[in-house]
Amino acid sequence: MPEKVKEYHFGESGDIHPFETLSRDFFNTNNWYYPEGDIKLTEKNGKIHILSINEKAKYLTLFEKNTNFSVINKEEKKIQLGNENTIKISGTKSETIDLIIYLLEYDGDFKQVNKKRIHLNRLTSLIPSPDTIYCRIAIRISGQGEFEISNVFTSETNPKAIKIRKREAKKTLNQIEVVAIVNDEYLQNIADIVTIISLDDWDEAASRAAIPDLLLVDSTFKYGSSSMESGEIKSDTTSQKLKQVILWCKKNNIPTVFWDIDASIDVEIIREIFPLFDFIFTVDCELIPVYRQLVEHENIYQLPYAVNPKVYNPMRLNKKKVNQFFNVTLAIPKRKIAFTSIDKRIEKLSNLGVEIMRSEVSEEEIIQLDYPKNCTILINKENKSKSQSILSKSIIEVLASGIPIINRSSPIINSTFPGVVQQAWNENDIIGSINKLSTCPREYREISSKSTREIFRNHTYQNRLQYLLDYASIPFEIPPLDITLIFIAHSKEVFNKMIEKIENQSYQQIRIIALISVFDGYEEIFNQYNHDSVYVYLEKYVYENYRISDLVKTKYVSVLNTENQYDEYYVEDNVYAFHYSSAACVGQKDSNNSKGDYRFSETEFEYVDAIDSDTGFFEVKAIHEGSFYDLIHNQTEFIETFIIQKGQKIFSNRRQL
Amino acid sequence: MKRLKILLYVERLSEVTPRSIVRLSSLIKVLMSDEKIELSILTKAALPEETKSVLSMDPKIQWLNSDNATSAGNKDDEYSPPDMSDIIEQLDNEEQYHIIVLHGREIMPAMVHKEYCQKAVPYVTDLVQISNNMIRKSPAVFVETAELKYEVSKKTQLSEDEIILLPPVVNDTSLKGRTQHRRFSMLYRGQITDEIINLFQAVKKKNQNFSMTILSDNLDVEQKELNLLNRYRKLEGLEANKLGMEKEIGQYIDESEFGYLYYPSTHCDSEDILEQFLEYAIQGKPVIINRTVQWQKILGGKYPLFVDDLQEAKEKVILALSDQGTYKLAAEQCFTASLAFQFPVASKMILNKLWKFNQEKQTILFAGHDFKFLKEYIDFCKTNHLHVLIDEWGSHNVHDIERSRQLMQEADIIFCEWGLGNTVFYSNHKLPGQRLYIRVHRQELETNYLHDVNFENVTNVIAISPYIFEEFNRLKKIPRDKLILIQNMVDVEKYQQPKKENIKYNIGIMGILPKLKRFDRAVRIFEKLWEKDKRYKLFIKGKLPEDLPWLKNRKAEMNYFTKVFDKINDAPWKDNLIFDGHGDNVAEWLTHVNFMLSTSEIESFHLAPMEGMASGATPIVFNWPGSDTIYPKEFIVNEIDEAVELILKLTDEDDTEKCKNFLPIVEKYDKSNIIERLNELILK
Repeated sequence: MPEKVKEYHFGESGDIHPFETLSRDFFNTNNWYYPEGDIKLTEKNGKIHILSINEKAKYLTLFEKNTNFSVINKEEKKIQLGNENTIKISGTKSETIDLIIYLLEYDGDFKQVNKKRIHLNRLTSLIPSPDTIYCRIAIRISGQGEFEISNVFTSETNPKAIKIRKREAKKTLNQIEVVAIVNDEYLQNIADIVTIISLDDWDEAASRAAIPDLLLVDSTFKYGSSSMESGEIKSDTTSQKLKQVILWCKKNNIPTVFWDIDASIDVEIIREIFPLFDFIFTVDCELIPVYRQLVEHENIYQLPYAVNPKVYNPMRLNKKKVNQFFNVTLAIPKRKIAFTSIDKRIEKLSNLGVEIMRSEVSEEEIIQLDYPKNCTILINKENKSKSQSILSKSIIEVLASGIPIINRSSPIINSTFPGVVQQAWNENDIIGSINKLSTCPREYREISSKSTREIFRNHTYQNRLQYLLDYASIPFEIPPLDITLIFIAHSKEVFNKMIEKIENQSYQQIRIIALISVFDGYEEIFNQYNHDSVYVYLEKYVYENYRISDLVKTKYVSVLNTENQYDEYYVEDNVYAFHYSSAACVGQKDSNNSKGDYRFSETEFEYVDAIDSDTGFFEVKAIHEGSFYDLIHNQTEFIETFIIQKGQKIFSNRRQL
Repeated sequence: MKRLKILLYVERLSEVTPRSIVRLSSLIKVLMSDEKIELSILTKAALPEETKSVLSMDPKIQWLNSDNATSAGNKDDEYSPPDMSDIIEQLDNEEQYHIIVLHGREIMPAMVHKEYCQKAVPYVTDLVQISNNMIRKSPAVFVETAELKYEVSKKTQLSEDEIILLPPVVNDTSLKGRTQHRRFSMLYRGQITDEIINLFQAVKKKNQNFSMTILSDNLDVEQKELNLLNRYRKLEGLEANKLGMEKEIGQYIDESEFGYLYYPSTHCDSEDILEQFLEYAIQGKPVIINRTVQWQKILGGKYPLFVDDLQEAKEKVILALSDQGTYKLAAEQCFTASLAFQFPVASKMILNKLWKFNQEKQTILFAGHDFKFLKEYIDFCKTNHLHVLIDEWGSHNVHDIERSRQLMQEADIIFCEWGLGNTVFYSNHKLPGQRLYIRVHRQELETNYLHDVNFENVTNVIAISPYIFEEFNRLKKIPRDKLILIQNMVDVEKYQQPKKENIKYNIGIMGILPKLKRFDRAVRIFEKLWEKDKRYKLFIKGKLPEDLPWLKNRKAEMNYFTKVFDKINDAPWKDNLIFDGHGDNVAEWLTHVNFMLSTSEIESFHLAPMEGMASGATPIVFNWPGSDTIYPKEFIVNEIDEAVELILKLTDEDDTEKCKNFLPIVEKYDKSNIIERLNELILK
């Protein structure tokens, strides 16, 4: 058994075994009875392997020794059925053997009252006869060959398929309903993104025939241990409920997703419920072949941790410490020195926030260390096997906060963040990177922005959810995070220059409103544009006839000044600022005061009371009653009216360099 | 309506190569994208539905076979090439096709002496077919590859245009935001060779993040090879996968940063490489590729990732990985090159060439109640190879429905002058393949007809001024992407007549009806001028109230005009106020006008002052909404006294130079320019 998969050790069994937890009994070879001259039964890699040695028909029976199927022995262990039951036995067999799996029902006098067949690899519902109390599993095998049981799923529930309403038009992301059986942190992080139905709400949701879009379960769910009561084994009710929900989803064709975020799962979970999930994701790519071997599941993929921008973002950056860190240098050794000596060399920089990431720390310690708040640079020198295949949560959080990372050896970090993390192959490289970042504040800032940008683009919880929904083929509309950029042009040259500036922006969800006057060649612009994402209007006409809400249909809006230069990420970085701050207006404050000085200014990544004119980005819903004229020509007063007086916040983002 | 009738004869579908099937299917898709093309496909025997679906599922295609095309009931095998040629001839006699496309070898010799061979276009798939005499006599030829095109051009007299290359056609797509690489991975399709392994290792040394995926047809063999190599050489990051279905290739490409298409020239199947190239290019991924004449033509000579040999290939791979600027440039150039193969561009190229087979004139139908502003354009169309039809409506909403329907059947283009009842009718009844244009002025803002127009069937709506453009978008919700700005036209040359003597104090106004023209302002301006200098005169051209029956029925209008005329009749200056009546002699009339008034409350363009400017008269324009988008600001006034002051001032100045100064403004609206813009829009 691979070390990452924990073995489940079942305690001593009592007489009555609930059908609910039957899977565990299946994989205990001591529970099976069979003619040893005809059958060899072994357990291998968590699976039951049965070898039929000869052609004749023979039986394997669970718990019961006797092959008189008309009665069961009252002294032996018995299986108790629920009122409604579901079972799926998964496995493979040679073509040369014939196989019948029976479920035999017995009454209170231990006499057989019914006999049912269970088909291999098929979810089977069982409603016992009125007199049935116990049941028994028997497998009839004839012919020579092999039979392997890989998984058994049992549940004392049998959810019905309900009449599914026709799927309405594509839902927006936050209309997608997810039955989320996940830890609290994860739940908080996704509650703003999709509509959550928790396990506690399940009964209510099921009773109103609400149809979720997806079932999502993570590995922190405590898949239950059973308990002993009066000689009877009682299965954990929460696990029962989970299995009920899973079954309901299967019957109603709701996609089911499991996300292993612990990188270490009980083999019982793997065996019993993995087969019922349509998709399994794990944070550890090395576990994929392990899981595949255990469950023969096609859809097992890697899905790294994610970050919530509202929690991890550049506001966490300790600007004071970073500014102190600038202009510090370390001596570079003359020869390459063993990596292990790095700790001593940079000890003196730890008060300036240069930290080495520690692998053998607990989660609580990681929280206390609060890398994002206390670091200026984080060095990842982890070479343990775990770091080769898992992208650590701390790494993503630190990058989201804009803190550069120097990565020694984790290939997964390098391949996930090429050009973002600083790669180091030896100690000299590490020192060189530290020196570069400390003596070139401009470079530090660029890398810091790049890090944040990369995370917000690709590693947020929203990214992960979209990824899951895509895999599950659930259509949805991404919430439009589009922005309208407005500019004024009094000549064709200015118009074309502005279009080019905007096209060079990294952010793509842009609509343009150009306000023009009548100049040479304006007709061509009127006729060539006014479709797709560029709209050209007569400037005066707009001032006289339209409010912002009439023409701006995007989530955000900003005015560009034709005289200003804008770097490639100007729009993107400001849009992200809306995601992580709670501001209705984002801009720059005092951006001109510190030209040439690349240290972080006090007003960067802070809520402020005013911003420089011509730098404002606005949430349209906050200003939609405003006039275009004021937005463009009187922005300071405009902000006073629509933002400050309405109690909305203003956020000062990074300076443009 | 002009149509293109095409017969496509497919001799033996079972013998057509997979690539040819795809190209043939693309050709059919192109043809069916034009609603004015009628396509019939003739085969020897009736094809089962699943076979037809390989070529096309378009229900508008007429499928013919030798059984239903003739009354003979022969089986497939019994139809010889001469038989099929006879059948084609019979069909052509009935249907009068414009083009007969022949896909097959055996049919060619059989039709050499047939009359229809003048419109027969062979579809050439290999060099053997080129030697056929038939090719030399054909008016055009379809070919599938650039090499074949070259060979055909060598062996025949056909021009570049007449050898129609059917390229691989891909769906149109956009490139937004996809020209940066984030990983360091390359995709290669082919066998595992020493060269490829060496290249991989050389690049890996320079960039440890580099990875390569080899897509192989023969994975089992390649995998063994790879496993063996892996024992002895460090090949981390190199993996081989099986070449799967198209969708999988797309995913592989999506997950890679660029493709490796460098092959030693002796092993090149250029069409295969072209198809591979397009798969990368439409996804915004650049390729490492041989520098050949063909590729330089496609990508341009300065494509940064051309290579001549393996050493250069290694260098270019490293460059693509390390330099984002080069990567982005290469990606953009690849994408740009793919545009020619994207459906809209490729289909336009092919269709333009095929339509030359139908030399019939296009028919343009003008529909409306009043063509006074369109006369020049209608005359132009009549004299310039267009068949012109006129559907003259009795009024805004009165017309002969049957006549309109009949005329509509013949039209390729429908031009509705004024957005009134005519636009409702034609937008809701036009035929597939017809283009419908509407020109709006201003009056339509006060009616509701445009609410009932089906804009999905409208190609464009022409607005005659930018202000009107905005008004119709805002008030009538005409989709902005349908609106086009093309101003009214002025026949500048016609008005370029010498001014009469002593006209310095002459003011003119053209058109005083209805009330919104504010004739009272003109009268007041004149009155104030006359009080300053008795030499001022006001000349009025146009109809009077009693000339318009509909005006006589409007009490408010009549009261207004009664008041104005009463004032005139009682005024001491009434003899200096001259009514010149209505007529076509505007150019001559303007020769005695020095100032042209526009006193209206509201106008869309107001042609009169522009015609005045063409004649050298100075416009005096009241500030009606949008006036500043057409007329120079220095001649725009807000009130009567301002107008009076301006006229007095300009009268004092020597304005003989000014008439020349108006030409740069007026020329823009000259009929030749406006007609050109209309043609560009309508007759494309």
